[in-house]
Amino acid sequence: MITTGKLGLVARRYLLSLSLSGPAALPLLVDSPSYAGEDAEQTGTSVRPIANAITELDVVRAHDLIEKTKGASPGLAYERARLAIYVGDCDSAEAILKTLPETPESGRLLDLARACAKATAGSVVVEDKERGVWVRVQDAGDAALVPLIAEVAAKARSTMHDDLGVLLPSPLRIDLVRDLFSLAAVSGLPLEAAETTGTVAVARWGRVTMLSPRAARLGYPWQDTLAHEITHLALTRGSRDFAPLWLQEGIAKREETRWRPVRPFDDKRDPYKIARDALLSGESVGIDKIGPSIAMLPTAHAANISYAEVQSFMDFWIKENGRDAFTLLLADLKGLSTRETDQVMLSVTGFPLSYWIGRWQEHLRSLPVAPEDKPGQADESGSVIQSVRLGDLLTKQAHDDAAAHYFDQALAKDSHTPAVRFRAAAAALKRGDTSAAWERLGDLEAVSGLHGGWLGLHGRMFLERQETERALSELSLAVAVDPYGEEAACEGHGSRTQAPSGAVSAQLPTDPARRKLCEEARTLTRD
Amino acid sequence: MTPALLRIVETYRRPLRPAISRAALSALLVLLVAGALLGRYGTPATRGGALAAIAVGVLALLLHRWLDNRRFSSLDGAIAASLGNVDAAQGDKARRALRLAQDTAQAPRGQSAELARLHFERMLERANLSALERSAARSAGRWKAVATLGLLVTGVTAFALPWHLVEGIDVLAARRGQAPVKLQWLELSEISSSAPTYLRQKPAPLTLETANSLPEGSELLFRGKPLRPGRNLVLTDGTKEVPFVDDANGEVVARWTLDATVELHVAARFGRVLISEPQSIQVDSRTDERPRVNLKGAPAELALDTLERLELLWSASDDHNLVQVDLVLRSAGKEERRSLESFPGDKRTGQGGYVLYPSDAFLKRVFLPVIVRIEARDNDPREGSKWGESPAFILRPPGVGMGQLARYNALLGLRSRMLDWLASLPLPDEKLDTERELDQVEQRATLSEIENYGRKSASDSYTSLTVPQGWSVFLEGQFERLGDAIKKRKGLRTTLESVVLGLSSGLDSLASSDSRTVAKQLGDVADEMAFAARLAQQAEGRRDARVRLDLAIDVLAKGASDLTQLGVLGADLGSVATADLGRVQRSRDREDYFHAELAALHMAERLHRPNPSFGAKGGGGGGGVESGSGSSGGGNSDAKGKPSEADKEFQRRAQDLEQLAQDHADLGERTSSALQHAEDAARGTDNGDEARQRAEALRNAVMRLPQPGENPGTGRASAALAREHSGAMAHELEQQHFDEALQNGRRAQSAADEALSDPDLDPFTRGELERAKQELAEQVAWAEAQAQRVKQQTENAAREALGEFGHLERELSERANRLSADDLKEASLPAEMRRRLEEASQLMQQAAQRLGEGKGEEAMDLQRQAQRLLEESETGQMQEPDSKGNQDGGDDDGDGRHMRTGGEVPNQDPKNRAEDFRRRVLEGLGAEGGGRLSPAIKRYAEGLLR
Repeated sequence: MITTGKLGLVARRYLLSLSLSGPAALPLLVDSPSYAGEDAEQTGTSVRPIANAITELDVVRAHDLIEKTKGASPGLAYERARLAIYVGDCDSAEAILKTLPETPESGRLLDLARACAKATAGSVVVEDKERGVWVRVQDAGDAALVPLIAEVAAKARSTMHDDLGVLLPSPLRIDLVRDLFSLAAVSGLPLEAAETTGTVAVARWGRVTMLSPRAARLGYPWQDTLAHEITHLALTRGSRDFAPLWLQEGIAKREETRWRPVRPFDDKRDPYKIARDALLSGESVGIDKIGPSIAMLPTAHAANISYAEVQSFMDFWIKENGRDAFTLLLADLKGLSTRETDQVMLSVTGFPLSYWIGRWQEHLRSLPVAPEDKPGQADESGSVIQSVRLGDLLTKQAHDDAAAHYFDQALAKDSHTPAVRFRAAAAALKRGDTSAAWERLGDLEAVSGLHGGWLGLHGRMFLERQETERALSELSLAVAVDPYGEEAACEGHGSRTQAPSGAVSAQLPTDPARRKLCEEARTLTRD
Repeated sequence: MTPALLRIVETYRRPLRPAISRAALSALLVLLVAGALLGRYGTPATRGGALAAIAVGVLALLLHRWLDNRRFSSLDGAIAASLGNVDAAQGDKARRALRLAQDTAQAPRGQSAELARLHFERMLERANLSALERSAARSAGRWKAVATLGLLVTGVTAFALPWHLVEGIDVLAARRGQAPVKLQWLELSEISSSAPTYLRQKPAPLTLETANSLPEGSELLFRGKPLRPGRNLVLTDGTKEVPFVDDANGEVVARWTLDATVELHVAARFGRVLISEPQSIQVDSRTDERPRVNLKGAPAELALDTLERLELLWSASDDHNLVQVDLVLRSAGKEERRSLESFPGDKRTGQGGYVLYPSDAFLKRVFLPVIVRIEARDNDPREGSKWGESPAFILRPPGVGMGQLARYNALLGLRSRMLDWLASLPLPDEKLDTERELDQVEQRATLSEIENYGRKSASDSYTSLTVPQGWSVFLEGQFERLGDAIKKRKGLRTTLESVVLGLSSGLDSLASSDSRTVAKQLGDVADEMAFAARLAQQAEGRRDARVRLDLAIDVLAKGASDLTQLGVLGADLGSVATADLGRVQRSRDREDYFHAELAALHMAERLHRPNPSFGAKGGGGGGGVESGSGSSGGGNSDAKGKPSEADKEFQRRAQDLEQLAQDHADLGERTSSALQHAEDAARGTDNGDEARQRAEALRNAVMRLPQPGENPGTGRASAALAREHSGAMAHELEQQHFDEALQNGRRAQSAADEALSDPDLDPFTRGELERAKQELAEQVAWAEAQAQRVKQQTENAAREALGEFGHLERELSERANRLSADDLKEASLPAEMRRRLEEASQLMQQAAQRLGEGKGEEAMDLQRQAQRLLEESETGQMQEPDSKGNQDGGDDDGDGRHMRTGGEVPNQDPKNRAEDFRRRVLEGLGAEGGGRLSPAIKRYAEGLLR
């Protein structure tokens, strides 16, 4: 439900532990209402159906149920407030909650509503009705990214439907916030936890709250992050939030890349290989032995293994039982209203969970031994960093020849880092030496990862060579990695590659959406 | 009408007509008198009744006249009213004859019209005219009686109540409550005025002829004798009335409080009607005006960042009394008043001056324009004291972050120059030693130019901000490195690269800490913006609130723009501020102040927590998120890490230096304390009584020497001086301060020798001097022996402790030696500073040796010299003293990503330590006697002064 940075284990531990530690701890992030079922006397009917409808993101049905409910009660008011938060109307939620007698639950929700109202006041809402996506951007400049967000969200929703049998309602609500402070305010995630771990997205309150890629200096893979969080929403809807932790995380990891075609480096992290190695070396954590949270495992290595295990296990299970079985599994979890999966597994497949774990382990053992990864030869002396820094400073100062010297110096010591290749190539291009630029840029096999600038420049050069298909693929990938990087957003055209006589601003993409994104990228200050 | 009928009518009406007219007139008069008396009550009912009665009477008279004329205008009517009234039978006959004549004339039915007319004539001629005349005379007599009665009533009334009738008629004729005819009511005996008591003025008479000008609130007194008693007299301005009351002396009096300019009348009230006197009195009210305040040079608008001082030369005056003068500073919702002057007595004018400095605490806190005024208060108790205000100086503070940005840009300029230099160097060639070919003079000139720029940048002020002290030292160290490289013709490029990277790193750190400071200040502006938005939600004062809101928005927009240029963290925080400001602005444009307030509150909270938007411990590169790690191959990779640690190393070295100086100062104090303790113990042995006896003997020996006051330059004057020094020695002996006693004793001996060398000295004094000199010699010798004994005992007693301190001193010496080493090239200290540290280290070594030998005083002397050098070697920090507190426990690595939670105990800043140092010295100076430490304290004080 939460996507964090590399060192986001502490927050994940805290948050996930809450989600599994029973109703008393739930209100922080698991929004099951303690009022549900308590108001039958006052209203003549229980508010549980309303609460369930809200949890399942069926806000229209929840609204209808509320309208049909006669009388008034704190529980009903609480659900109205919860519904308001689910549809992003934090003002109304706050107003409703202020009228409620103070309880720990209503107090926490009121705090959330207040913080959310402040963080979202005056925001810009852009709705793509055709795709059924509602995006609220805190920074008006992020409106330029909305068409791309809507595209990803629509594809991810469609994939969820195909893969999980869960159709997410329309509109799908996404809050794009400017910083962690706002992410915490809108989602209810404790700020300290968000700051410590570098959380970038949270699926909560029926919405995805995601950090704008502009917040990260070099962007982040926001598309997969969005798909990951949408998966959590789908699982919550499909199981009425009764999906166990290993299932949630396993499916979310599996689905985050399935909405799109395979990309370079997708296979760099092979969950089957990691799980197999762990099993054979005795480091396996176990599917049902994660404990309250993957993040509470003793080491980051163990956490990595655990993620790989749950991802590969769920992938294996679905491959063995089919998509319909998984749909049935979710429905059964919802019907039984429990996170104990043995009973559900038995009813769906005829075998308990332990059987499937055994089958999965057997499968892992049968996998062929994969070749070892060869780590890139990186210069650890620090001179690469120094050369790059000097080159950057000289570039700013318009000493292009001197800058090129330093970038080439860095490239000689580190040919795997795409950022170094990008700089060296850009410097060469700026001097009009296209062949040197090609040479310095290299191809995808030569680099150790994705870099927005590198991809943008590579795409541009393919475009100039009339290799349109490949160019568009790389330019699209560039935006997926770093949408606000100038070279990524502007199809390889930026101040780094522009000769002093040229006008950078004149070189804009022809596609209106990309053009807007490029213009927005050029307004940002990046040192 | 026939002649006969004419005779009859004339005979009958001639006596009646005048009688009836007189009776009618008389009746009218009665009605008028009654009406006047009734109308005098002045109420609408009485006035209406009276006027109605008079009108009815007149109408009745006219009706009677009309009916009478009408009756006599026809033949039949005339016969009936005259003949018929006297002789009804005769009258009827005549009327029948008339009808016959008329009928026959109109429609003769065989009858003679002539005959019928003749018959009618004869009937009339038969009328008895004398009877008719008698009857008419009787009627006329009755009418005359009525007229006489009416006249009688009117006459009696007019005689008895003539003014009632006049007043009544005047009242009846009144329009809009004012009678048309003015009447005199009062014979005025006094009209005077009393000013309000706070004005302390005497009562003054008023004149009716000319307009009077009186202070507002004055009380006017009208006194006089009523001309006609029983009238309800009032004093009125046409709107307000004050009744006259009996003053028990046969006069009436009314008091009028002057609220505004008025024209006053004495009048009598009759119901709702006033009858005023013909004369009035015009009184102009003089309002107690606000004090007038002038401020020299105002109004004017000044830029606070270029202001050195603002001299506020003011003068104030009031029409009555000044009470207080304040300096008032206002900015947005903040107000500060400072009392400049108060005037307890009568004072109508005042003047003074005040100097406002940009460093004023109020001015340093503000971010919106400050309105500076002088305000003066008067002593009006009626409406409350009124404040008068001067024209204003408007001080425009520099934009939030402007100073930090200017400072950052200045230092960026230094880096730019170095980069230009670097770019100008030939690229390295493996085969050639390119640096050997460089023109040394040219390179020196470039360095010199950069040095000049760097020194100027480091010493300049940027809207009251200065470059942190550590920068100067850091830059000097870097310049020396470059100078060495030029001199050696080797390593210039690598040194310059290292210097550029170190400088960049320092700049990143400075920008980062400045960004946090500026963000917090902008957070304060956002708070102000939220407050203004809240006020704008209320109908009252919305206009002002909107102005305030817009002003805050402007300041924030500019500040956010400046913040964006302050390095990576600044760009991040500035961008956040700009985005949030966009939300406020959009809400404000829609006049949705509720959401404007919410957005502003969020912004304020965010900026008060100036952490990076994203990343935290996520690493310096891209957002290596879990969900994307597989696809990006380890994140959006970029060159990670920090290219130079020079600034960090320098900061560490600076901190080490501070700590070393602090530790050494502590050791010095401990040494001093140990020695003092041992000395106290040595003194307090068994020589107290003997010392007192020797002091007494010395006093006795000099008792007969001359007293001070002798002619200077004479032998007697020198003898007097010898006496004084001897007295001082005796005092020190009693205190067992043998060193001081020794000094005083030697001075006394010297003065005695000088006195004895005077040939004019009288024999008695000479004799006494000889005796005193012998005594002095004895006591000096004893004091010397005692001083030596105390010193020896002190050192013996403190030897163990001193030995331990010696070890510590040696350790500190080694630390100083390490710090002076030139092993950290990137963060090297200037040579001069290293030399001082080396020297300090050597002195500390020597001190350690002395301590080991138990020579405490010598060691302390060396320690003090070393301490002075250590304190002179302190570099200061490269960030603002409070910037560490700004970081919220964080440590930024320049890319704005890393954050460290948890607190760090801040080091004492140099200012505080200097303060502690001064305190120590002053305490030392204030200590009793000073004793053995006196010379040291003096040296300390001298060092402090230096």
